[in-house]
Amino acid sequence: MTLGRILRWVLLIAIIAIMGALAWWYQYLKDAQSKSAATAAARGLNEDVPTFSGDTGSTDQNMASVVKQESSDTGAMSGTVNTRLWQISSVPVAGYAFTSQSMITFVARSTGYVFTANPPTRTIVRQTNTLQPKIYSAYVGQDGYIIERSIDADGNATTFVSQITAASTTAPKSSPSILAGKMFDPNIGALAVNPATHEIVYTTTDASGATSGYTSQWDGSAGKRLFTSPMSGWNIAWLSDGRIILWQKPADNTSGYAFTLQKDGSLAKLLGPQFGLNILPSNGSSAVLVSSSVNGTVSLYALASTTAEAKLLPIATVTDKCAWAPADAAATTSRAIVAFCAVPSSAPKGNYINDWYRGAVHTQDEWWKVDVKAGTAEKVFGAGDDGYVGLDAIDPTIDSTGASVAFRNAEDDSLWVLKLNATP
Amino acid sequence: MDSIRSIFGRLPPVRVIWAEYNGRMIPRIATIAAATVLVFSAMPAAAQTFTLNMRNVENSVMLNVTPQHPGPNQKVHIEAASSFVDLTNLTISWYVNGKKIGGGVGSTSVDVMTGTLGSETDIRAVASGIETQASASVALVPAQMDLLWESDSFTPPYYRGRALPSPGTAIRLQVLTHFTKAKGVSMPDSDVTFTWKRNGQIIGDVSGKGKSVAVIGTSMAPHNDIISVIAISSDGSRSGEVSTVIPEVDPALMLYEDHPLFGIRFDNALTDDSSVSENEMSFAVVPYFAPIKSVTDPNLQYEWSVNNIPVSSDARQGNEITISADKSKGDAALSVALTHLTNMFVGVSGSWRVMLSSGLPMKDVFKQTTE
Repeated sequence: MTLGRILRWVLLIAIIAIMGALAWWYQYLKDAQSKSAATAAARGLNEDVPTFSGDTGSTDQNMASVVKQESSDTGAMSGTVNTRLWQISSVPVAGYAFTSQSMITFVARSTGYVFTANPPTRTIVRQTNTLQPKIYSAYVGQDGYIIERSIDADGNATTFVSQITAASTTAPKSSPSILAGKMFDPNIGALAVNPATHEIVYTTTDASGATSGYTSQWDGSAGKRLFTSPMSGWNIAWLSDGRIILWQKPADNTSGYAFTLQKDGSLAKLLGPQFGLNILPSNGSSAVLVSSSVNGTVSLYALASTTAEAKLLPIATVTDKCAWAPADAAATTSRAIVAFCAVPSSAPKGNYINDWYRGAVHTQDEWWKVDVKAGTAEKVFGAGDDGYVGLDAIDPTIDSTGASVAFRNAEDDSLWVLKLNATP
Repeated sequence: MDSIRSIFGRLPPVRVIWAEYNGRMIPRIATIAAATVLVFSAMPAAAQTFTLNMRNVENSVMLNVTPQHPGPNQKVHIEAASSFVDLTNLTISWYVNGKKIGGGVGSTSVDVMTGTLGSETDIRAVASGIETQASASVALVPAQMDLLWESDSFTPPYYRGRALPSPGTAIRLQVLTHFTKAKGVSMPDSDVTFTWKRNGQIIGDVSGKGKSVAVIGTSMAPHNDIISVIAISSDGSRSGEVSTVIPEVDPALMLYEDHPLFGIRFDNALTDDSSVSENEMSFAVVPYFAPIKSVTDPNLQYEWSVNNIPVSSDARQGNEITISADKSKGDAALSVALTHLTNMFVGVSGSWRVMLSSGLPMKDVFKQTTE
């Protein structure tokens, strides 16, 4: 074999080898590309940018769609302007109040946005655009005072105190304002606001478990310690007449007390001991509603004054479901003291308070009007009434005329308003 | 007889009263002084009479008050008793604040109402007979004591109820005495001695002067404890007692949805048979009344399983887990066991069945996603 022939064979083999290597490399790259493309597609490469609209998109649209009367999941509950019961929001609400005769201001739990709802016209307007999700509790005061409370990553309570300009029922949705404010001390436990002066009273607990009660101005200035206590589980109310009432958090079959805070920081007993004690003091008088829970029985008592004898009422409910009617609205020739309570249609049983507070049980309630002096109650809205829905009402509040009551459904924290009078 | 007299010669003087009983004269001791002496005779009819002088006859009557520590405006039962005077045969007169309110032969008890808090009501009983005069008095100063308690067990922020004690937690108690001195001045706790009891047994290490606040531990197993406290002022003029029943419970694990916008849905606990309209959801377990400070305690160990398959939870938020049914309809049996590396009292578990729905066939294993 000549040298030339050998070279030709070598060259041929080399070319074939190179072609084979190139073919392998091509296939390798192709496979890798396919894999990359699949991964990129899974990550959304080249997908259209989401518009965040519709039922699962824009938070604002979602809020608007569910709080409007047209919300699909409210169905028949949204009703017409002639029905007594109106679902203002089907999404959870953190806090609310009547800020004018008929207007309700509320804070959405998912965003911290402040809305105003006008029941007579069934319209809702957003007032703020400061996003603060996961608002578990909110206080809505007059003149735009707002407190929003949440939980931080470490499980501690946070408190944001703010004030907005007076809400408008006609301002277009596109001009909501910023919710400006400041964060208060961390781990505030109980908190209440003086409805007349907008001062704040609150409790904090240190590492040893000792609790101190403080007051301050709305902006946190002029802080002053009022009392100290080895107990930390307090509920607190600041009444318009200046009284600060403290009572122990309730539990079934557990004795509790209620006290009036004295000027020297001491506690003067108001009520107790009573099993499952919970109270609703009145802003307009010294009347008190008291509920108890012992041996599976829930009872409600009325005291026309702190020194009066307690009258057992013929309805079984807790004070978390009751609200005082304004004194003017309740004024009659006999100057009755009136409250309205949501009463479970079936009497609560077992460890009702403990289970209810943990969201483990819910009831279907009817509304009753309580005459505190007479110790009587009459049903005003329940099964059989037009538009009735059995809701587990909590934290009701009544407008200044006594015509309507706003409340949350404890099962889903949705917000509702009910006309208390049957006549439209 | 001489020996008996010699005995009496060394003893404090005693006066013997002879009384007729069934036609016979028998001796009765009028009072007791430093020593008790019983004088008897085998033949009382023929016995000689010893004239012995007894001291403190007039103080031989005691008044028993029930309840022992009355409150204000409370009915009190007062019983006169004596070990050495037969009160049933004596005329007893009762006086309240110096004013006679009743009495009669053998009238050994009376019911009296106490006054308002801090007021003093003087009760006096005078027993008189042919040769006996005795009296006793007591001052009723109603006391009001309030006993507050709570536990340091875990409850989430904004929980409306009381923190209940469970094994491994502590119970904090405070007694408010409302004792007043002259002119209505409040008596400080530093002037009062407190004796704390659990089920009748004195708790020595939390009792003492000024100890109006007590912190006690719980037992190994949940049950009800009766806690009582007796308070007595330094001068003995004021006293009171109050008790309460404290129920100890087991920690309760509650499962909630942890919504990305709404947060943990404490308003609606998931039950053993819950349905949700989502095919992916985050869950949070909350251990109510557990002996912990925070659910994010690094020493807490959450052992999750889904359909009996162990799954890992978020390293930062161990009490939470996210489950996706991956476009299928899923019945998820969730369970979690909670323990603590250093606290043996933390040991609780829970299980729930949650139906996640999206309309597609069910899968056996769920793809779990964590943040």
